[in-house]
Parts: sequence; structure tokens; C-alpha cells
Amino acid sequence: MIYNMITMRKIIAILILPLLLFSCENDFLEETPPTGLSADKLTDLASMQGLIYGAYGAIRPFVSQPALYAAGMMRDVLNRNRGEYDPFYDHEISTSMTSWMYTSGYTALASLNKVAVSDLVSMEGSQEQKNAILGDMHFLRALIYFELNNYWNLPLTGYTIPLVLAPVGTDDRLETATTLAVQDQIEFDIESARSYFLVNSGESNYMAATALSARIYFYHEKYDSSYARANEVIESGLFSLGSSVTDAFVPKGNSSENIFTIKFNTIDGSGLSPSARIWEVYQASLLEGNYSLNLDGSAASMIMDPYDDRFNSFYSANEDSTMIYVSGKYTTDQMDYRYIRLAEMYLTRAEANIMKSDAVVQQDVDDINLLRIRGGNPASNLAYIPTVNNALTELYDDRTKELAFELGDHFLNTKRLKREIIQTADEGGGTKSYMEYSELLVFPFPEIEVDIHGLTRIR
Amino acid sequence: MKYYFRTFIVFLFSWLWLNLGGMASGVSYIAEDKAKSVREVMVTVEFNQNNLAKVFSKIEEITQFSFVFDENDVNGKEFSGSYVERSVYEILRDISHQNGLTFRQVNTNLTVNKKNNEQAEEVTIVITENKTITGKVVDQEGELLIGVNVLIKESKTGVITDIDGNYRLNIPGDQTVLIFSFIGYKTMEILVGTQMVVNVVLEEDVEQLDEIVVIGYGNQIKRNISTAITTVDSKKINGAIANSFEAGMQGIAAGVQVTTSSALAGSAVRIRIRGTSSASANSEPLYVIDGIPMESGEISSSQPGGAIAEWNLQQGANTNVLASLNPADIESIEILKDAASAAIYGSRGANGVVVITTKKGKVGATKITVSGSVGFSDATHRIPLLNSEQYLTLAQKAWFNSGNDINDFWSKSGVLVDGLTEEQARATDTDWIDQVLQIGKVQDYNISASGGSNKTTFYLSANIKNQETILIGNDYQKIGTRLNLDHKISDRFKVGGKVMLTYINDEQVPTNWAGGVSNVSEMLPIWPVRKEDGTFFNLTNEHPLAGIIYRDINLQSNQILGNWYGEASITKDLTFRTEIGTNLLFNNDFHYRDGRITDHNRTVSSTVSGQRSSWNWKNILNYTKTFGSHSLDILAATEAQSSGSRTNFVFGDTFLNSTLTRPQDAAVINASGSETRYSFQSLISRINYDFNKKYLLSASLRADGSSRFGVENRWGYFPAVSLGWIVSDESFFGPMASTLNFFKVRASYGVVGNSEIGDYSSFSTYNTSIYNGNTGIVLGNIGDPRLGWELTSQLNLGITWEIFNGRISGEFDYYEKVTTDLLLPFPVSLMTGVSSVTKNIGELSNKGFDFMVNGLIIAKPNFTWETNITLNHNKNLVVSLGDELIKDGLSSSAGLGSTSIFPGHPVGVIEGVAWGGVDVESGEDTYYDLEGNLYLYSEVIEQWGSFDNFNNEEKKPIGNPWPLLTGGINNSFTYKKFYASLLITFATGQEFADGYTKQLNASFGNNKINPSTHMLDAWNSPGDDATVSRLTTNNVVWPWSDEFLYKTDYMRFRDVTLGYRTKLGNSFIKGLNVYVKLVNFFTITKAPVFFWDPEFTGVVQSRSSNNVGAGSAFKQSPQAKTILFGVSIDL
Repeated sequence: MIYNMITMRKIIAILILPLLLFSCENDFLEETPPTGLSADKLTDLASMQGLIYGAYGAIRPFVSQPALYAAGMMRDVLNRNRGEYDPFYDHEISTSMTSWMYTSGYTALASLNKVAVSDLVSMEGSQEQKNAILGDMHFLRALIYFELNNYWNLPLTGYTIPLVLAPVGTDDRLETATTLAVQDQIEFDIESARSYFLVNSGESNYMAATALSARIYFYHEKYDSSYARANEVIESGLFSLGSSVTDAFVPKGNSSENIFTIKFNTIDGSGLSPSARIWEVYQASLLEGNYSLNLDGSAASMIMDPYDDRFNSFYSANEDSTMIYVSGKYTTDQMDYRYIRLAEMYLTRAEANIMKSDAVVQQDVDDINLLRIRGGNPASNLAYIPTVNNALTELYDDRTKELAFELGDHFLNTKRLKREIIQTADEGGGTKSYMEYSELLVFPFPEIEVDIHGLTRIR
Repeated sequence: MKYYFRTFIVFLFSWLWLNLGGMASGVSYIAEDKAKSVREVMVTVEFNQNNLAKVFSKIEEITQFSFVFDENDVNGKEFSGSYVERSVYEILRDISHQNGLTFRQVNTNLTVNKKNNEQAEEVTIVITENKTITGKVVDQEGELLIGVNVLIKESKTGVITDIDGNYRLNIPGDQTVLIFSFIGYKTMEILVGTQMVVNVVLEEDVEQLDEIVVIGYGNQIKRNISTAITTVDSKKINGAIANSFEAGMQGIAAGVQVTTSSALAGSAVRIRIRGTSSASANSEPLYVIDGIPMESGEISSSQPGGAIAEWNLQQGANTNVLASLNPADIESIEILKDAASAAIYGSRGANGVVVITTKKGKVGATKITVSGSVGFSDATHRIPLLNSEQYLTLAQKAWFNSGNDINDFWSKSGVLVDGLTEEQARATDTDWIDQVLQIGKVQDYNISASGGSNKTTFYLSANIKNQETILIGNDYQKIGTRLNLDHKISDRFKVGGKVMLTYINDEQVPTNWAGGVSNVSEMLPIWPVRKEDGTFFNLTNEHPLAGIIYRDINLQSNQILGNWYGEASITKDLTFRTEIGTNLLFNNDFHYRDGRITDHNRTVSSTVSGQRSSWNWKNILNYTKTFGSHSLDILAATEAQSSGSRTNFVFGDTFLNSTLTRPQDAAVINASGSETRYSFQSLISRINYDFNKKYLLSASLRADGSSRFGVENRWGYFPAVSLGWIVSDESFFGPMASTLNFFKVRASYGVVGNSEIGDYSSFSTYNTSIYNGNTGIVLGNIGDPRLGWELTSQLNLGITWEIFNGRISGEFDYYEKVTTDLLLPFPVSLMTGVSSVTKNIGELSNKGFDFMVNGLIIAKPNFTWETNITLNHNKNLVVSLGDELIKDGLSSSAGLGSTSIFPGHPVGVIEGVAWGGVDVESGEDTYYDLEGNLYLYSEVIEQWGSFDNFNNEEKKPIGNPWPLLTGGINNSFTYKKFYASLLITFATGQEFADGYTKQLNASFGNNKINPSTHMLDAWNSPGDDATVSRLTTNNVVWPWSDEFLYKTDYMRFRDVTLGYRTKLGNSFIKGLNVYVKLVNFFTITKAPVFFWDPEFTGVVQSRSSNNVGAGSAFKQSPQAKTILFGVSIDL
């Protein structure tokens, strides 16, 4: 019996031993993703370039959203079919509306900051390649922080979004930055971009960075710099206005007016084109579009000039003219998004020049008239040099006419100039002063960001 | 080092158990020979303080004698002695002297008794003349029974019946009693008397307590089971109707909730065992087919073209991988419901385990069965849409109520589109349902052959199924074959294998979000199907018929499932088995959308080629031993599994003309793909022990490692223990035993896991994107090396009982399941680059009971009536979310879509405000705020500014997608050769939110749709008590309220069968079975008329979001009812 037991145990042991050893082979459980990139693989310029392209892709919704929301906030847009946008329409901005912009902005920043902290110097590749990557990184970071700051900064306290310059971990806790600090970073980044692009262009280039810097300084109220940059772009001779206002918006056209566009290309596959969002919501269809121009809004009064191609070419009305659709700027969802056009540079140069010198000169009048002539309405030309205030008023109207439903210019310009806005009927009609809306028309932080970081602009 | 420690722990556990068994080991065998007297048999043997049981065992080893004794008479007694060529008689005599026992020899049997009288003879010898009897054993239907044990009572002498059911046995005399026993049949005792031929008819055992139950990595007698395992009668699986076997389990297994999503062929089936044990991870049970863990779910890992902007095809509609298994090939299905039974599957047992065993060949003549069925289907219910006249009446009323001039209706309301005139509209009355539904047809043919010799058995089958469903354009074909082979190399070694090959060709049609039948309300009855020129009227993707015709969805798959084993009997009690299983699945999907029905007006198509392959290797040591009153069954095993899948997408955009459809012919071609792998490694041990066959113990421990878990949490340990006590075997139970003849109480506790977290959730990864033709990357996931499985512990208390000699039997189980470390999308700062990470956090519970009763109500020779009732009550509750950040709930901000998770509520509820009904005076909807104050809609807008604001501030969790009670009642009757059965299933307590009703109730706004007749009951004038508010042309108010929450309680005549079965003497045809079957033919429900069917899973979500998305739907599609005619012939 004992012998049997020993024999049996030997057999068991012999059988179990190889199984036991097999079971201890822990490498068997080491499965790593066979496709895709993990963080440890981002060690060369190609992956840095991939992060840059990833960031460009991520900002597609980011750049198109402000144009959409900003117009609505100014009560210039009539909400037709989307009940959930009511709070927005009544100057009550919900986080569900704005968190997409916040999210896509910081998603792109996560990629850019990964590049920023990587050791490009040690990576194999030419200095030209590295300059292109660094130029794009600084350019996009400037662009994103510029947009975020425009919509999230609270003038009353001087605080804005958090300033993040390195990848953020899940356990990191951050706080809001001062508007001044963010503006400094934006200016540093755009100047760095210009510097790197002087050596080699990336997806963007030196002149795009220069045009963006003109816009940045304009809204930072640094009119000297703004003027210089806008002037540099115009004087470069690299860009020219099309003969028609629609030239810049031909779907597949390659207009020399466009200084910088966010690309859309069918081979890019999934994802909306940046223009799709605007195209969808402003469709000239009673059933399909969600927004139309609000006839009571201030933009409408400025835009609806029946003698100006900038109205006739880009807008259409329904049968009884109770609704005006923004139907001409993006006529398909397959278009590149026009981010900076030469027309804006003329208007910026003119206004920056007036603001820096507190005087109006002939060049400013010429810049204004140039666009009016192209608009097919020479009768509206300024035949004289107006006063500073009159010139600024004309420019305010012209910027809205030229740039409405692009980049939220009307909204930003109204805030920059501290102008009144129109109140809704629910709010009692009339107007609302800058002091009232400067706190109201500030994008809220997504709730989750407040929960996690305790973000506040009142400190 | 820790891996060796882990291994050591588990095998120490196993080794201890093995040694427990080893200490009690001994061998004995049954012998049959002409008897000699104990005085004549000489032996040489030595005993040294051996206990008597071992002494007897030794004598049995070296002689032909067998001892029959009561353990109590010999326990604690020992014997010593040395014998050289001495008779057995002398040994027995010495034992008798030392221990006060007597021995009586009757031929080769030695019966041991206590010596009650000092004068009693120590050894008496009775040698009788052997008598040889013969006989045949058959069942009640005259079927030969092979392998029946025929045993002489109070001996170990016996034989088994041969392949013709015959036996031949020498017996000691006329007073011999023979015991006939066979699994699944009642044991019979027969006094031989003067008979020379004893033929026996064994009756099927309705008690089935001796039935062998598959318990995972082994078998156990049902009587001895102390966990909660339900056996599903494979004959009740309605294979002809259900494309996938699991759909056929509806209502016949307590605690198993089965929901089919639609009549779409091959569509997904949702199974929940004792509620849903997870929030975001897959909650389908683990399916184990012939020992191979299977991945359930859709074959295609993505929708056709789904990764490339063509998202709106119902994901769950993809052909279900389990549909590859032919229901006719299934021998048994066991459902391991409690954690103690499922813990043997460790980190994959949290949702319960469904163990499927396919048929084997039996020794005997080859049996060929040919069967076929033909069926016809229609929708269980047709939505009563408004006809043209009704629509115009209501639309004009809404137009007028909204302050419009009724004379402007035709010109300004927007009902005239695509050139339609008022006259044409008035003359049109289109029934859009007729355009997309048809009478479905199904044909199903099976042929199987089985049989074999003592050495080799086989089961071979083939199956062809052809189905045109009630949805026009939906055709499904399946061709499958199977070969199961077992071969005995010798008495010690056997080998075998099982191979299944299945081909499926599924022509699908869009449903739910994608359109087709789910779009019948999108077109008005005043609109024609086609224009005069034959082209479709108002052609968009919303056109139900055009959406089908201009879309081609073809899903094809080939699956090879096989496993091979070798088994060695190392000793009589110890076996070693090694099994290797493989599962190969290849799928080719094609999806084409004509530009006339795409939003962008470009024709697009895509192909998806997928391949899944996995292997599984098990090594199992099994030791079984009965010694005295102790029975042991010890298992020690290792298992390794590796699985991978690879998918390639090709997407084509814009084609030259309509003759080109494949993406390779497109102007723009885009390709992408995916590839994943995972592996499991496991150490498994289990002991089943019973004492006196009435005190039962089962304990198991499994260690699981998986590549899916983070490196810091890679291995988990899953213990379980269960206890059982067969109270009815106790002497004190005697007075009750005449009525309550079997009563067992059970208690179990175990811990199991859910590892369905995705293959690389613990890794930080980057996703690729394309910008202007250049490859970009963005952060896709932030990994967590601590990520692990969800942990479910479950307590189960149960009883099993029988009364009236097994005529009525039943089980009742109470359970409490608690799942901790829920795998949840945990929100993280958006500044990280992602919005959430997967984290183990939170807790949910399921509590309830299972009840099952079987009764043979009438058992007359010509008439029987049997009833089976199953019932489950389950309450699902999220206990906590475990972190301050999300303590109040997780909602869409964490990527959970429109549904949310809130502590104190079930998984899958939605958030909405409370609806107070329609105000009888104004006809406006009314709503409650959280304090219970009632407001008119206009007051809500006035006070909150918008309904959005009101909803944001006053919403609360509402709804419950999980039934509180589910079950079934099955009645079966036989009258002579006729049989009939009626299965009624039911589910109560669930409430679903239907988002599409928001649109139906706002049918006359900008978005023109045709509602159902429920709108005829809309409020009309003051005093009306209506359920729908005053008709207007207002647009849809999208925020949820419980106005759109509907009870869907139902009771359904799931299966009504009438058949005739007979045995034929004909040498060619041995048996015939013809039947007619009605499936889903009659339903009573609380669901509103605009629900196609009360039973649906809504817009079927991906399987990972099936729980949180279970509470709401947007568009639905119909279910089918079927009449089926079938015949089965035994050759």
C-alpha cells in the first residue's frame, strides 16, 4: 500500500512538475499592444511630427466652435430647431455647449506639450526638421491659448484658464492663471514660432505666424505690434484679395487671400471637417439647419446691406424674409476652415494704426475702402478722412460685415471695445452694458474641471 | 518570486487534498467466478495492526471474495496475523475471535455481522449451485439500454448490458435479488425466483437526482451538488426558431434572463444570470463549449465601416458568434449561477457560466436521425400608425391650435414636399409598414449519425438553415457540420476530439438608428412610396424602403471550433486528462450605401475582414475515491489561453457609377485595421467530499493571471466553498420521509471576477489620426498599472426537495451578490488629454431568489401531464461609486451616453424630471420639481427660462431596465403517442425610456413624422383626461421626463407544440416524430401600442455599454412570431 502511494505520488509529481513550471512562465502574460504607439515609443522626430499632426487634427472642432457660439451669445443668431440651446440663447452659457471647445483645445495642448518637453536636441534629424516641429508646436500653442483666453478670461479679476506647458498627469491638480501670464505665454509662443519658421516652415509657416501675431496683438491691445505685423503680411506681397468676396470661399479653390487654413481632406477619413459644424447649423433649410440670423440682432443691422456683396453673396432669406441664413461662407461640409484671411489684415492694420496714433490717415481710409470696393458698393466709400471715433465705428461695422460668422470676431470685437449688446425679450429688451455682460459672457469651466481642480477665476 | 509563491499556495491546497484521499486509498474489484469455499482458498498474507476495512480490502485483492459489511461494525477495529499458505477460513476465524464478528459465505460474498450470541458460528459457509439467467433491458419506449448495471443485491457481483441491451449473469439461487440501475432511470430490484429470463423495462427517473451534471472541469451527481447549478433540458432548446441556442433558454432556467433584440436574423441576444453584475464591463455569462471558453458577442469587432464615419448601423445586429453552434448538437447545458460553482472559472465567472456539452456517440448500432422543419413568421405586433385621414385631421388641428390660419395648412405647414400637390396628398394613403415587412420563412434541416463499438464512438451531424425574416431583404443562411469522436486505446488510455465547422451568410437590413423598418414613422401616410416616374418619393435615408434597397449589408463568417483530448487512468482512482482547444473565426463583412441615401450624397462602401484565433490548453488531474462512508473527488488543473484578433477595414468613397460597389473601386480609398491579443494563465483546484452521502462539501481555489490586468495587479485568487446536508437521510426525518422523500439544504459562498475590461486598458496608448494626408497621433488612453478585475462575491442559501416519490420536486435559492472594484470610466481632468480612465471603483449588488418546481401531475399509462415552473426575483442596485468626486453619480460627462449610474438606483437608469400628466383645463403638460410642486409647461418656461434649465435643476434618476420578476411555466402532456406542450414566459417590473416618443408626440412641428393612433387621444377640450397634451406644431422638447418611461411587463405564449411520436417496426424507419409549433404567438403586455414588442434591448449598444445603456432606446424594431411544421425520422 505504502509502495503504491509513493508510486502514485511520483507519477503525479512527474506530471505536475512540467505544468507547474509552465504555469510560472510569467512572460506568457506580457501582451503589449501590437499596433499603435505607447508613450515609451515617442522617441524620434517622426513621432514628434505625429504629435504635431495629431494636434492639428484635434483643433478642427476647436477653431469652428467659437464662430458658432460667439455669434449666438451676442443674440445675433436665432435658434430654430435646437431646444437645448435655449440657455445659450438667453446669454446663459451652459458647460455642455462650451466643454467641447475646452476639451479639444487641451487635447491638442497635451500633444504639443509632449513635444515641448521632449529632448528634440538629442533626436536624430536635421535642425531644419526640428525647427519646423518647434515652429508648429509654438504656433498652435499660441493659437489655442489665444482662443481659450478670449473666451475664458474674466476681466473683472484678471484670471483665466490654467496655463499648462507640460503633460498633465491624472493626479496633478492645477489652478487658473492670470490673464497677463497667459497673454505673455501666447506672445512668447507666437514669437518663437515666427523665429523657428524663419528657418523652415512646418505645416504652418512664418507668414501665418505673423498674421496670427497681428491678430493676437490686436486683441491684446498692443496696437504698435499689431500694426507692424499686419503691415508685414500685407507688404510681403505673398497674398492678394480676390476680385470677388466669394473667392476666398470657393470650396476647393486655392485663393491667395487665405493666409492660414485648417485643412480638410476626404482621405483624412473620420472626423468632421472644421467647416462642417458651421455648414450644418446654418443650412438654408427650414428643416435641416438649426440657426438663422436673428433680425433683431446687432449683426443683422450691420450685415443686411442690400448693396453689399458681403450680404448678397453670403446670406439668403426665406420666402417671407423672416429668417436669414448664413448660406454662402461654407457651402459644403468638405471645405478647409478659413482661419486667417488677408481682408482681416487690412482691417487690423487700419484700426491698429488709428488706435496707436489716435489719428486717422489716408492709408487707413484706403484699407477700409479696399474691402468696400470689393464688396461691390463703391458708393459707400469713405471719400474723406473721418474722425477717430467715426473711423472706429466704421471699422467695427466693417469687421462684422467682412468677418461675421468667422472666428467670433463680432463677439470679441464688441468686448474689446466694451460696446453694449442687445438684450433678449425675456431680459426686457433694450441693451446690456459691458459691465453687465463682461462677467456674463464668459465661458464656464466644464463641471468636471471644477470638481477635480477647484478651478475658479475669483481669487 | 511571487509567481512561485502563488503556484506553491494553490498546489499545496491541491496536494493536501490529494493526500487526504491518498491516506484512504485502497483497491478492490468485482469478480465473478464459480464459488469456492473459504476453506479451499489458500493465501499468504501478513497483517500488522491494520484496520479491518483494510484487511478485508487486502483479502479482496488476493482472492475472489467480496466483503459486505456495515462501517459501524468494523470502525476502530484492528487485526494482526501472519499466514503462509493458510485458508481464508482460518483468517476469518481469527478475526472473529479478536473482534467479535461472524462471517457468512454465500458463494463469493462474505457478509460480516456482529456476533450477537457467544454460541454463534464464527464462519458459516453456503455454497449454492450457480444458475445462469439472461435478459434484455429496454426503456419505456422499447429503446435498448446499453450499459445498464445489473448487480446481485448485497454483493459486488454484476455485469452491464451489451450493445443489444442483453445481459447474462450467474446467480447463487432463486432467492437472488437483482438490482438494475442506469443513470436517468429509476433503479429496479427484481426477485429472480424460478425465472431463467428476466427482461426489464426501466422507467425514466423524474427525480433525476442521480443525473450526472457537468460542473466545469468535471462532473458530479446532482444529488451531491451543494452549489446553485441549473440544468437546461437540451430538448427544450428551440433550435429551429432561435438562430443561437442561448435565445432558446428563455423561461426554462430560473434566474436566467434572456432578451432577444429583434426579428433581425442573427441579432444579438442579451443574457443576464441573476441580474447584471457590472456597470460598464461586459455582463454576458462566460460560455464554455466542450471545455473551450468562448468569446460571445458580435462576430465583427466593428460595424461594417463603423470606424469610418458610417456609424449608424445597429451594432448588436452583427452576427452573434454563438449562433455558429447548432442547437441540435447540444447534449447538455448547465448554468453555474452562484459564485461557488462559477469560481472554478475564476476571473471570468462573475456573470455566471454556461457550460455546453455537445453530443457523443453511444456504443451500439448506428443511429441516424433526419429532421427538418419549415416555418412562417409575422410580426408579433404592428404599430398602429395613423392613416392618411387621421393624420390630416390631427395635423390640421395642431396647425390651428398653434395660431396658424387653417387655410395656410397646405401651403405653409411643410407637409407638401418633393413636388407633391394637395390633391395627390389627399388621394394617397400609404401603409409604410407594408413596405418593409413580409411573411418570413424559415427552413431548418438536420442529419446526424451516431454509434460505435466498445472501442470507438462517434457523433456526426450536418445542419442547413435558410431564413428569410419578416424584414424585407433580411436573408440568413447557415451550414454547419460536427464530428465528435472518442476512442479507447486501452483500458487505461483514451483519446478523442470534436470539430465543428460553420459557415454563415447573413444579408442584413438596417434597423433602429440605421432606418429600414424603424423608420416607418419618418414618412407620412399622405406621401407615396414612389413618384410617377418610378423613383422614390422624398428620397433620403429616412425612406424606409429606399434605405433598405440602396443599402447592402452582407456579413459572412466561417468558424472552426475544435478540441482534442487524451486521458490516462494512472490508477483506478486517479486520472490525468490533457485538452487542447482551438477556435478560429474568419469574417468578411461588406457594407454599401448608395449616395442617394447618404447625408453627403456620395456613395460609400466598406469591407471588414476579421480573424479571431485562440487556443486553450488544460491539464487536469482528477482523483476520485470512495472509502467507507467517505467520498472524495479532487481536482488539480492548469489552464492557459491565448487569443488574438485582427481586423482590416477598407473604406471607399465616391464611385464612378452604380456598377461599382466594392471599396477597392472607389475614387478615394482608405484603409485601417486593428490587432489585439490577450492571454490567461490559471491554476485550478477543487475538492468535492461527502460523508455518508448526506454531508456534502465542495471547496475550490483558482488563481488567474491575465495580460489584461495591470502589472501591479496581474494575479487574482478566487476561492469558494459550499456545504450541503441531505436532511431527509437522517433517522429523525423518518416520519416525514413518506411524503417529503428528499430534502437537501445548501449554503455556498464564493468570489469570482469579471475580466472583460478590454485588452490594453492598463496601457497608455496613442491613437492615430490623419491631418491633411499626414499621420498624426493623439493620446488615446492613460493606463493604470493597478487596473484589475471586478470582484463579485456571492452568498447562496438553497434547498432542494422532492415529494411523493419524486413526482414533485423543486429548488429554492436565495442569493446576495456584491460586486466591488467596478470597472468604471473615472473622470479625469480634460487637461490630461483624455476625459476618463478606466478605474476599479464602486460597488453594486444583486439580491433575489430563484424558484423552480417540477411536477408530474398525472402519470397514467396513456396520459401524462408534467408542469415546470421557474421564477426569479432580482433587485439590482448601485451601492456606491466609492469616490468623493463621483459620489453622486456618473453621467454622460464620463462617456456613458444618455444614461447614468447613481448610488441607490439600478444600473442603466436615465435622468429626467417627473411628469405630472396633462392638465385637464389647459391641455398643457405638467411637471413636478424636486420638492413636489406641480407646474404647467408654460409656468416652467416662465420660471426657469427654458425646459433645459428646469431639467438641469429638477431632474432625478428614473426608470429601471431590469425586471423584478422573470420566469416561465411549461406544461407538457402526452396522450398515447401524441404530445403537447405550452411554455409561457413572463417578465415584470421593468421600465424603459423611449426617446423616439418625444418625436412622436411632437409629430407636427418642423420634423414631420407619422405617430401612432395614441395621438388620437390627445387633449382636445377642457375637462379631457388625456395622456397626450394639446396638439401643436411645437418642436421636440428633448430633455427626459418620466412621461416617456413605459412599463413593459409581459406574459408571452413562447412555445406551443403539438406532436405525434411513434416507434415503427419498419426496418428502415425506426421512429417518427411530427409536430407543429407556435412561437411567440400570443402576448399580453403593458407596453404602449407604439412599442413594436415589449421585449427589446433598444438600440443595441456595444456590449460594454449594454448595462448603462439598457434603460433607454431611441428607435425599435419588431419581433417575430412563427408557426413551424417539423418532422424527425430515426433510421
